[in-house]
Amino acid sequence: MSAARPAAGLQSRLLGWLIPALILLVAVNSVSAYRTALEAVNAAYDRSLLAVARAVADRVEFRGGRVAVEVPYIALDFFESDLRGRVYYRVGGLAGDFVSGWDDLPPPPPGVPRSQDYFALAHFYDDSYRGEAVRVVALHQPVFDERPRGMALVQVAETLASRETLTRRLLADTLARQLLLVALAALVIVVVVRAALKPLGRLRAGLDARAAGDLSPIDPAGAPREVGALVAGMNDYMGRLKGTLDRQERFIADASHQLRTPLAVLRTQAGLALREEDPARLRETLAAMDASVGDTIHLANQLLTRARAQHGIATPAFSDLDLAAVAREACLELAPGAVAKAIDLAFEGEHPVPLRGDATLMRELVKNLVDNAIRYTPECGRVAVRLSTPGEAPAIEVEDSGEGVAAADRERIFDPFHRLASSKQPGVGLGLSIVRDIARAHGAEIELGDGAGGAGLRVRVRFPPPATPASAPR
Amino acid sequence: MRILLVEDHLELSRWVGRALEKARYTVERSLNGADADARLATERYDLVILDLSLARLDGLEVLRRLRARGSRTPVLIVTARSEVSDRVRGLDLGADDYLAKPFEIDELEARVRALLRRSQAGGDNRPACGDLVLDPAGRAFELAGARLALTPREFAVLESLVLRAGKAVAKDHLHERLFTLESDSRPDAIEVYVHRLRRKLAGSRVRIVTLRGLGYLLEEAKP
Repeated sequence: MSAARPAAGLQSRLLGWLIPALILLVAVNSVSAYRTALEAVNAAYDRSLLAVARAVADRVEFRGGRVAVEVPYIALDFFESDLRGRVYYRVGGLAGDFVSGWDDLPPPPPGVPRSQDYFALAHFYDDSYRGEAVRVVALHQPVFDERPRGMALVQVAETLASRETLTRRLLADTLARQLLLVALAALVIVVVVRAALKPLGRLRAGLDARAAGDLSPIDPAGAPREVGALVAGMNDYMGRLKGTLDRQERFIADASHQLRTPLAVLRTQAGLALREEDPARLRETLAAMDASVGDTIHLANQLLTRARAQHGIATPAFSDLDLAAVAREACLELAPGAVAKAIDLAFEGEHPVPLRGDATLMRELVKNLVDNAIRYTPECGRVAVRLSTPGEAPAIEVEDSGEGVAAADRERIFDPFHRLASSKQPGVGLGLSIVRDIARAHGAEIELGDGAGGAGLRVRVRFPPPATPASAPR
Repeated sequence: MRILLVEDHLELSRWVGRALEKARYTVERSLNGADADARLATERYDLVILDLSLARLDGLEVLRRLRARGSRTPVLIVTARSEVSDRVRGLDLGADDYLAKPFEIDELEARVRALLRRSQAGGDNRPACGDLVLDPAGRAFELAGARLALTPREFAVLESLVLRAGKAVAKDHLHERLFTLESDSRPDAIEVYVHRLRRKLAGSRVRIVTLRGLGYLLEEAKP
């Protein structure tokens, strides 16, 4: 079902946007959280490093004119075991000369800024020692006996293994938390999106369950506002469709009635003919049967014409055409019928009548108008076809000298199968219904009037001027 | 005269067959396209009446095969399809005439007569209307057996009308035939010739009907 597709599309679209966006946000957040944690870890380790440097610096003395130190190995060991890394130190004299510790620990590189975090002359920096990356603190310790003698330099270096271990754990921890967050948020999103789209699914299920001919309105209750508007639109459309189908159904009912009637007449006539003994009266009955068959044929042809016209109206092919030429052709074709009834058929259309319309439909319109006029005009009557003259709005007028139509009946003669109660003419009123449908498709108006001298009928179809395009069929 | 009637509707075939037999034709009836094709390949007929919507082999295909075998047997197409394209295709494939269902039996007989007349060697295939006959070879008209004296333009007008007897002929069409280039090409010039023709046809069984604003129609006057 195509009804399923929009719902699925909406859901996957929502999820397709929400979940990647969520992952991106969480990723950015993870990076920043990791950075913050890393800074905190480094600060803590640096503080410990400084504490060791201070413990060493506390033992620095000035004895006998030179710097000396009693290194508190316990503090170093404790620190080493706690950190699970190696610790190196070096104490330098006033002139940078070696006093204690590891002689080859490199001096601090120039330009390392003094740390602002501690009330001490401490400098933290990264370096490498014995092939390993190390974090180093360099602490300047004033030395004095009775008076200040200068600065001793205490350096404590620590390998990074421990920090890295902690950092990795921290990273893993952060990622685990964030992944959990993503999973939970995605779950919430999926559940919420599903719930929000549920009314669509319900509507679809309701539509799927419908019988093919069920065009009753959909109940919009429970549907969110946006979907409610859609439902209203669909209900409106189905209402119009129902109208069309109802008309179609009525037409078929009318058509079958109209088809059965001449067949019933025919059967009666045949039954009568079979029992007829008198050859003269038999001939009479057969002639009547022939006329009945003629009626049926005319009806079948009109039904076909109408079907074709309806199809053409649904898919009109508009082009620039000359209504006068179209009308002339149609009249030439119908002329033998008029001549057979000795009807004086006159065509008044010397000038082209430019028009925008569907040529096939326009031909049907004229043919039905003229055929109708010939059909309802008695022998030796008159039928005139008139086209508008240049300067007038495009129009065609067909006037006959038949019985005419009472003013009260004029609206109804356009209804399919309508026949005037007064009419003795055979045939059914499909012709004018076709004319009306085609006229509507061209935005034309139909006016009815009396024929010349008050007798007969005058039908005038007036089209919009060619400057304004013919309005599209409704 | 042997006629092959190819029609898949049993009732229609039977009644049309009876009507033709009553008109003293020998009628063979074929109820589907394949059968018709087989008969046409082996037998000789003077005329084929061919329905287009046939079971087993389409009427147009039967016609195409017939002509492909080089047969010149006249073919009258009879069909309920009213599409112009079908008619054109049928005529393109070599059909000689076309009649739409439902038809009147008189009309069918008239067409059959005309086709048979045309196909008979030396037969009378001259266009006619009532007692007016056109002899194209002699470029002359006979009215009730007597030669009708006409000027070239009168002849041209009457020829156009008799070739489409019973149907309307547009004034423009006559005008084009008469005044190819020069001279008195006033629109009402035609009327002059028609008027003269009417005088010459007076008292005969044909008459020219004026369709005002449209043209003219030659018809056999009702007795």
